[in-house]
Amino acid sequence: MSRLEAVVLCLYVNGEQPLTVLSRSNLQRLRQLVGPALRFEVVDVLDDPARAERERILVTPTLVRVSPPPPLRVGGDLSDVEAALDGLGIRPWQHREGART
Amino acid sequence: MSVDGTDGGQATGDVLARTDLPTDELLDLAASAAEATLVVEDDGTVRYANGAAAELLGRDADELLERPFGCPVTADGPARVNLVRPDRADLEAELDARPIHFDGRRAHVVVLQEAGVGGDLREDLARVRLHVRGLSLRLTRIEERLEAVEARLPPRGG
Repeated sequence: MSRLEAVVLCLYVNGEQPLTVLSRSNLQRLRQLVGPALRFEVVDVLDDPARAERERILVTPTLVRVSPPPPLRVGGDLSDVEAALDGLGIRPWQHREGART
Repeated sequence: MSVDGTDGGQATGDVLARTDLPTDELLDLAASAAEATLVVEDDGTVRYANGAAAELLGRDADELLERPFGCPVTADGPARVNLVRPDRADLEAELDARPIHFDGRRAHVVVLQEAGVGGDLREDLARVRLHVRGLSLRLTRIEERLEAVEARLPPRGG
């Protein structure tokens, strides 16, 4: 992954419940670590079950790295943000301004 | 909570992750597990799903194979997740994941247990049986190794 490359994530959640609120909060923590290079979308599988099925989601929360390819995903407790980033193959320092190769 | 004082999903994960068994024997144990059990390779792909997993996730086991589960992340202990079933049933589960080697590759054994379900003595018994089978297989392997060592010893009086 080249430095300062935009990272696009998609978070799949299930309705408005405490687990969803926590997952959104963890996503914000990820954004703080990665910086403005991170963009994300949140998909509620109750609102868009067809998309969840198309993306073959089995559990929520699942966080998918949409870009850059290849697509990678993590599922479970995203409060361990470092493990989540590792599973998504994202190294925060590579996406922050002033990053060196 | 099971009879040994651990959560059922964790107990099953312990047995399957500690067995150090060949893949076929690990799968044999997983098939008899009471909890929904998946083997997820390091690339996030489901390589195995037992019958309990098919039932809990509301899909055929074959449909689960090769599906991208993703890297299971747990912080301190099992993670709470919602299951995404084709019938849209609203089910919560606890997800426990342990690192294993599967067909020589790094993987995770993922155990899903429906939240709020447990404490059933039959399920506890099934977990104890699984634990005993795991121990039995390990003892068999130790015995095989001892026999191999003995075979290399010089003959008595030689």
